Amino acid sequence: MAFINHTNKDIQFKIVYYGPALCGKTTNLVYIHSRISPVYRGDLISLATAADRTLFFDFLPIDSVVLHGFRTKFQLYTVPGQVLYNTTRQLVLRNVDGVIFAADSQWDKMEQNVESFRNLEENLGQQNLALDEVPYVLQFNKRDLPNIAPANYLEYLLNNRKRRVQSFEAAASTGLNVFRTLDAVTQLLLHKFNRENRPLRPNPR
Amino acid sequence: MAFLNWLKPNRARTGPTPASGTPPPDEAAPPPPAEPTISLQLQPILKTLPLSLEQPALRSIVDSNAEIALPLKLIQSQLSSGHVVVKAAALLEAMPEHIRGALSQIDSSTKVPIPLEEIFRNLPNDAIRLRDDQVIEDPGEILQTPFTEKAQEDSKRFAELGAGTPPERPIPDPDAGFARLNSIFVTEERLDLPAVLAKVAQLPDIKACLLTTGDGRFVAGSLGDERLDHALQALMPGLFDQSASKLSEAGLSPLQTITCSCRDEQLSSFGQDKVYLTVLHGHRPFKPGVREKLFRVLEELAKMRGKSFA
Repeated sequence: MAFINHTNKDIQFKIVYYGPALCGKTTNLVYIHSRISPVYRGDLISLATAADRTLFFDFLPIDSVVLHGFRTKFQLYTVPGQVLYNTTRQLVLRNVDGVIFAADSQWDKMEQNVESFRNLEENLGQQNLALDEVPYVLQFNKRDLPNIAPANYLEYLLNNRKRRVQSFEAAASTGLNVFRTLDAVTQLLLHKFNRENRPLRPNPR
Repeated sequence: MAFLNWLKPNRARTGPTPASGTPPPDEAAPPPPAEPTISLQLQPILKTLPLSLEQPALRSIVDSNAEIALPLKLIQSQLSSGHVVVKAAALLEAMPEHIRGALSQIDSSTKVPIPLEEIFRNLPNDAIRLRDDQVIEDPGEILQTPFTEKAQEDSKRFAELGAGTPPERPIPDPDAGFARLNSIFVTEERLDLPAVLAKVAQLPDIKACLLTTGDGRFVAGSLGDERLDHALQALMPGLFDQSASKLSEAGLSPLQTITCSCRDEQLSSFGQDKVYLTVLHGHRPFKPGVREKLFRVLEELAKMRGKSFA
């Protein structure tokens, strides 16, 4: 749920990158951090092990445009993908406004993708949130690698629900479709926010 | 269990194999409906067996060209989990009799993973379908977000690079690759992968070599000790990727070789596109020109990956 600070005239949105271990969540944030002017973004805070595995979470704050007198801020988080760290994932998911589920396209990661997606649904359920109530998109990452499954199989695994969401084939290491994915989920969460908070409605482009 | 009689060579078989000793069908009764099967190459299944199932006898059949036929329903029902397994007993029954013995020591209840890649090579087009009642999410009117401009910039940049959609990787011609290897080794002998690895192991002061892939699915050659082979197979991808990444951040050119000097042995590993070639040195590190030659060999093998091996 977006946090509105009427005193400071701030609206904060929280977007979480979710997905199995080593699927490229942190790589998404690193790319975004590299492309946004330091004027608008804070430091990328990353707590990683020596082997570059996310230990707690990554965090990237982004200040944005003023919408009807309110300054919007986006907080981008990743969760640790390793199965062991479920409590941390639950903590990071608290008050989430939008989710990007990053799937690893490599053949041998299909089962982990499915498990991680189920885990997302379960952890949202613990907050009494149904996945279908949350703005989310799918990112099929690592499309630049040779041993990848076809996108239609990833759709079958992860997007075979009543509500079919947007999906993007991406390569976070090069930046391909990293911002398109983020833009898509941001659009969804702003629309949701607008529906629920009419007075703060921004202007359409 | 009818599905124990699968096996065999047809790629698109759609009928059950009658069990031996089955009485002739009653002429008045309609034949039982054919159970569709899917034919799979045995080789990729054997090459991806978990370590716990590996047996020395398997080495003799790992290059077998045999095919097995499994009931399509058995495979199809598991595809939504992203993981397909069959019991070892079923796999054994489906294997040609002359190579079945190589797996005879395996517990028949053990579940054997079937590589998805091999399944999808042979899966009928309509085997996976999205549900019919899906509602496609309407993204609504386009709003300007803080990320829209960057998304547009990137789309334009990647379109200019010809990468708007990730390109299909060209399938390299393995014969051309081996021809280039011929020129590297200055030989007219007809080369294949084992021959190339044998040539590598014959280079000056090289004792043995091992070729592995980053996904751990492929191993060829050996350093003469199975434990060492397994250890390097597990170690190299992470070690190489992390080292390459850090060195690149430090402004160095792409990493080609890592040499490990132990008290009694020296090993060098080369990495290219998630394919790793490790050599065991004889006495001293590389003689002049050998390191460069090994890297060229690996470059060619990495290009051929997917067609000629793994």
